[in-house]
Amino acid sequence: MSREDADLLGSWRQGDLEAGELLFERYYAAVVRFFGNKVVGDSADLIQETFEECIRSRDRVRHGDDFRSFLFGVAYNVLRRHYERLRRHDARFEPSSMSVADLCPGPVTMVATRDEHRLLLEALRRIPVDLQVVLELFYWEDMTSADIATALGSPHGTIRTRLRRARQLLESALSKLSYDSRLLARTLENLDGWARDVRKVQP
Amino acid sequence: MTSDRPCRTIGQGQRDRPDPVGPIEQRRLHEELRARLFGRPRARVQIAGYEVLHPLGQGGMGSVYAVCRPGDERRLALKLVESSSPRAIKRLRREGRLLAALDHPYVAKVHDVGVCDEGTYVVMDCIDGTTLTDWLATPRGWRATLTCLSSAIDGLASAHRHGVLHRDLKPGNLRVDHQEHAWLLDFGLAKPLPDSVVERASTLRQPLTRPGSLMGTVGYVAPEHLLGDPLDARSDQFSMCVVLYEALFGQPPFAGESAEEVGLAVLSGKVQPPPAGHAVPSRVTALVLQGLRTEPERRHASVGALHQELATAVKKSTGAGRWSRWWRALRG
Repeated sequence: MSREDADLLGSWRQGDLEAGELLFERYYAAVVRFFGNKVVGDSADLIQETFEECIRSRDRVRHGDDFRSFLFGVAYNVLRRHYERLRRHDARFEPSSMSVADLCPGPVTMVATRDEHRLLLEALRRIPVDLQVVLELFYWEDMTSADIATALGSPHGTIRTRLRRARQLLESALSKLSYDSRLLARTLENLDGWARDVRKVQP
Repeated sequence: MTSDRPCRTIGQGQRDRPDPVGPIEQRRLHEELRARLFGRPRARVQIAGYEVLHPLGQGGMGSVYAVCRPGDERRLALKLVESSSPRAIKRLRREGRLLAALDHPYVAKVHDVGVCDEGTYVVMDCIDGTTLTDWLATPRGWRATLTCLSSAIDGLASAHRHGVLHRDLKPGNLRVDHQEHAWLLDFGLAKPLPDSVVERASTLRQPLTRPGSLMGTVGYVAPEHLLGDPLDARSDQFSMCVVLYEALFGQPPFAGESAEEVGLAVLSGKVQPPPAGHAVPSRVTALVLQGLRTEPERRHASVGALHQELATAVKKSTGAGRWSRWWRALRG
């Protein structure tokens, strides 16, 4: 945990609004990114819900816990509730088997400046949600498997397994989606690079 | 797509996409959340010096926001094309220039056109109220419907007199204000009339729609538009009569399961018969059907003429008129 996050959280808990605001500024773009490739259309309500929930439950972050992991844990719960609402008249939302493409089909709305980006964003939406979440946190937020485990409240080993599985499924989703063998080869060759690159082109 | 809504936009794929959270909207949301969560005074996001109040919608060409000038409460609508495509920018600038030339109480007035960091923008009147589609969701009598639409028909006639075609008339481009008057909006596809003063006086002669692409909405555009033939004021008249027919009878004049079927019905002039038991006077029905004729030369001479005829038909069929005629007849 970066010292600064811990300091800011400490001050915020003692009523220093400015400290809270600094944390908000620091992670706002990351939360926008978190919902960007998982919701079709407007994610404004979910972004707001995440920060409101953070304010309500900030005292529950244990000493030594990572604020960023806490924040993404909250965001994941907000996302899960959103999917549950979408499926209210249907079966339950099952994050280990359902993908964003199953839950809310629609075109990619995140910024993609290259074909490799578009292909990757599309493929990410075709793997089960709980795998997409770990991959995106890993690539876009530079979180370690241990950080992700804290965020999602899962054992470390489980997250490591999910990361491996997520990568395999992503590769097979890419192969299924791409009709251009050269584009596919280019994307697979430097999968990590492209995946991290997508983040850089977001506003 | 359901069969009872035969509108499909061709050549404007963007319209079918869900609204992405664009950079402006993201900045606005960011400011608003910060203000709400941390009790800060709200710093409004600005575009070209206008404060953004909230988004109004996403059109084929870009986003529309409710804005105001700093220190001025009056709401305006700002249309922003974020894309740097020269074609989109050209179209928006043209829309601004054409609309600035119009001065009609029920045509949204243009206040400003320009280029800013975020793209090209047009600032125009913001019409409080609802879209015609929403207004018609509540059943309205034929007389109320005609009275409401009369202002927009007159606005269109005025645009034609200024040598400007709308080219994309449909319920979504008409707004009904709180006094129940329809306003004409979104001259996004507007084009000077052939040989009009505007066209001769401007450099806008070249067509801005890419060759081969059809702009407009199937089900509302005239057969000559579908065939790619030259358009004139009678093509707008056709679209206005589609709107009128739909507003009066609660069903589209040209029906079909797909855009192709609707297009075929338009080309062959196959108008659905109005529903049984409707209360619209036959004179009014005949006027609307005349505007829907396949051959432009068989439609009304102008939208102004149609407006006049409809006004006369309404006057003639008012209860007061019938009673006074009956009273006069009784008294010999």
